[in-house]
Amino acid sequence: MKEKIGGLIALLLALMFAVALGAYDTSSAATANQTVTVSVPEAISIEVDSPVNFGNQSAGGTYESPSYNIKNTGNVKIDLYVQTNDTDFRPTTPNTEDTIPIAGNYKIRSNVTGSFQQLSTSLLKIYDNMPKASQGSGTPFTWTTQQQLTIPSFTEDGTYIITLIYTAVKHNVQP
Amino acid sequence: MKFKIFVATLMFIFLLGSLYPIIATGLWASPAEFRYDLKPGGTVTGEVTVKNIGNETVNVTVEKKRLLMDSIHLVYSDKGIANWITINGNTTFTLKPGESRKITFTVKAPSKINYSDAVGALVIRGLPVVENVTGGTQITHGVELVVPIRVGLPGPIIESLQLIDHKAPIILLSFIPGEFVYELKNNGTVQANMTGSIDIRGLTSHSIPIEGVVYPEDNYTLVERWAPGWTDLGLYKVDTTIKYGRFQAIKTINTTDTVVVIPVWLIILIIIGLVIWMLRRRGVEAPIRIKIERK
Repeated sequence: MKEKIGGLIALLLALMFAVALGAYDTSSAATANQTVTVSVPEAISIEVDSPVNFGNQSAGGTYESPSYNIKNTGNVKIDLYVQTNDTDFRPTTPNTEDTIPIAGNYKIRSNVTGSFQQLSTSLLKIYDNMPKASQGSGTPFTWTTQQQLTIPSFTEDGTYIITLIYTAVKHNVQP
Repeated sequence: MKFKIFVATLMFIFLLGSLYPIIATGLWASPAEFRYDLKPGGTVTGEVTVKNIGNETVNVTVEKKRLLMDSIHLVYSDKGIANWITINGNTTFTLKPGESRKITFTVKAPSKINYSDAVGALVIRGLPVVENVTGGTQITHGVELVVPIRVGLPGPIIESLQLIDHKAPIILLSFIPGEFVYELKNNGTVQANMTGSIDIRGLTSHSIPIEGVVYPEDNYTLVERWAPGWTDLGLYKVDTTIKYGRFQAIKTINTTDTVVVIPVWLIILIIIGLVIWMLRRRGVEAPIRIKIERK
């Protein structure tokens, strides 16, 4: 009789242990899915080498500037425009009266036409649909260009400056 | 020995780089554009982050503008949606390399308006603070980012795009691009999203895709270029199809032109032929004559 009771108790204990183990280890009985979301915002960005110097040049000649880089450092395709902040190169040296008018004298090599284009105080498109860097490349898309300047004959000696402003806008995408 | 020369060259390049560092002006802004659907009289607030990614301090100015954009032009206007936008806080400030700032703005749609789509923008300009004038003729470079703010309003949808004028080249030479120019005006109340193509058919066939957006009350100049290749010759029929619409490009504008393509090799052949013909006619003999005789 005692043996039967002992066996029954042992059986009950074994069952309780099995139930407890089953209740503890739920992973084998169910799966759960987790959705992970990340949003990458659009960013527009450009970087331009500055300044560009034509160096000391004689009056009455046409000269090309050193090549310089414009980079699309954002994650969207862009259209690139350029304009000057003034109608003339202005002298920085005192007592210099001459200026260098940009009309007919100052050009930039355009990616749109592949040739030098006249600069002005209005926005000129110089790159249509500049690509962004390929994903994970670590290097922004870089375009190299040049400027061309004609210094009118008998221009007074001195230092002349102007500012060029490069404008980036996200390439036209239809809504 | 070669290794020493290599190391010396590297050191020289490094020293040169530190003496004449590459200076760059750069700005970063996010997001790149905003799109809002507003009710008449409704307002919305947005925020854009600007960062100086160059290696020199820049003076930043922020302006609100209406955008007039086409395939070649970008023009700012102070009318229309420019008056709906208010920039909150300072519109001029300085950013050191690596610094950033948040710009907030509010768009308030007017209670009455006769069109349903408009595009304005925040124009963010960065100019270097210090102009390092080193002599000669020098150009300082500034950068400008345009962050469009596109606003849609409820109202009647009238799609109307008018072709005011168009020009196509009459004669084209090989490798010299010709321009096809289309002057368009949106007389409707909603933006006209354009697709289509310029199909050039003759001895060979070519197709130039068209895309663009024209906003209500705006003029739009569409310019496409085509340069014939070696194999292009003779008469070509140019069929232009511009499809447009607010949501689906269903309406169409069609034009037809004729272009004559003269290849460069044909011009060269004609010149050579003319020269030979003239030489023979005048009886000019070749200056050197070689005669081979058997012994």
